[in-house]
Amino acid sequence: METPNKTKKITTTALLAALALIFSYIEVLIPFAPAIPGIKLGIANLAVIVVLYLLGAGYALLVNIIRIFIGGLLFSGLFGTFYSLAGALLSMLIMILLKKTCIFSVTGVSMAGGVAHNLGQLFAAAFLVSNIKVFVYFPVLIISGVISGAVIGILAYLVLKKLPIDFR
Amino acid sequence: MFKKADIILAATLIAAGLAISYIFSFGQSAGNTLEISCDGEIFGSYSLEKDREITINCGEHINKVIINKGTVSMSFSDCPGQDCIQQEAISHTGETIVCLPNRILLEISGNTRQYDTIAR
Repeated sequence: METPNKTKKITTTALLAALALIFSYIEVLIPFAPAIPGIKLGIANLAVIVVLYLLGAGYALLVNIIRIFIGGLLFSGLFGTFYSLAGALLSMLIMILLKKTCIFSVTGVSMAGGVAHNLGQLFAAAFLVSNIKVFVYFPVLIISGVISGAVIGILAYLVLKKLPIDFR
Repeated sequence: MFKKADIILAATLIAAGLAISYIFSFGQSAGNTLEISCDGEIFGSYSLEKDREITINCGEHINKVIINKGTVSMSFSDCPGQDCIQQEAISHTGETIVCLPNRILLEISGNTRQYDTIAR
């Protein structure tokens, strides 16, 4: 079985990056518990995780960076970009590390990624307002990170299972 | 789709979350002072006992805060996201409302103050 050639990898990455952008846009449209700052459904992570398991860490990081910067230009502005970047970088780090250990399934990696994403955003928020008290929201964000991460993880697992064999 | 390790991870994270929120709850009580910071520096302290509207000029941005019946909420902001407007009213010590783009933090504290307003 041939490994996918470079063109295929690049086009797949581009496709999933575009998908991640659309997911980000949908998230902006759905108001989800605005009472708690930073709480998000994290649907865009679905695209990132699928790329992570399909093409590896490098391409997954690429998808994340593309969707954050273009998303920043389109929707969230400079602060949104900084905020998302902090969350995504920590989330990527944790997910890549956990995936390497091969102890966890996609779902577990996604859960940890969700929590790490929220934690990264909290750090960014604490930095921006120079106050550590924002961490009061951490417990809620852990739990929402676990739940949304689990849901996205299950979806990612189903997607990966259905993809044609010649991708792996 | 689930491995045993995932379940242990989820349980650990949730337990940690619950433990942290339990620890935090010891500091919670109905507060009586609102502290507003702009860019990390204190803008002013206000007693919660008096209903009022406060206009904050922080850098080039404008935000307005309403103190009503002992709760605080952001009534106006010129930020693009408007997350701060949508956050629920706060009233307990330690609770915060944040406007990240405008670098504004509203925080409830429980210090008893003799003065009605302190502007620095």
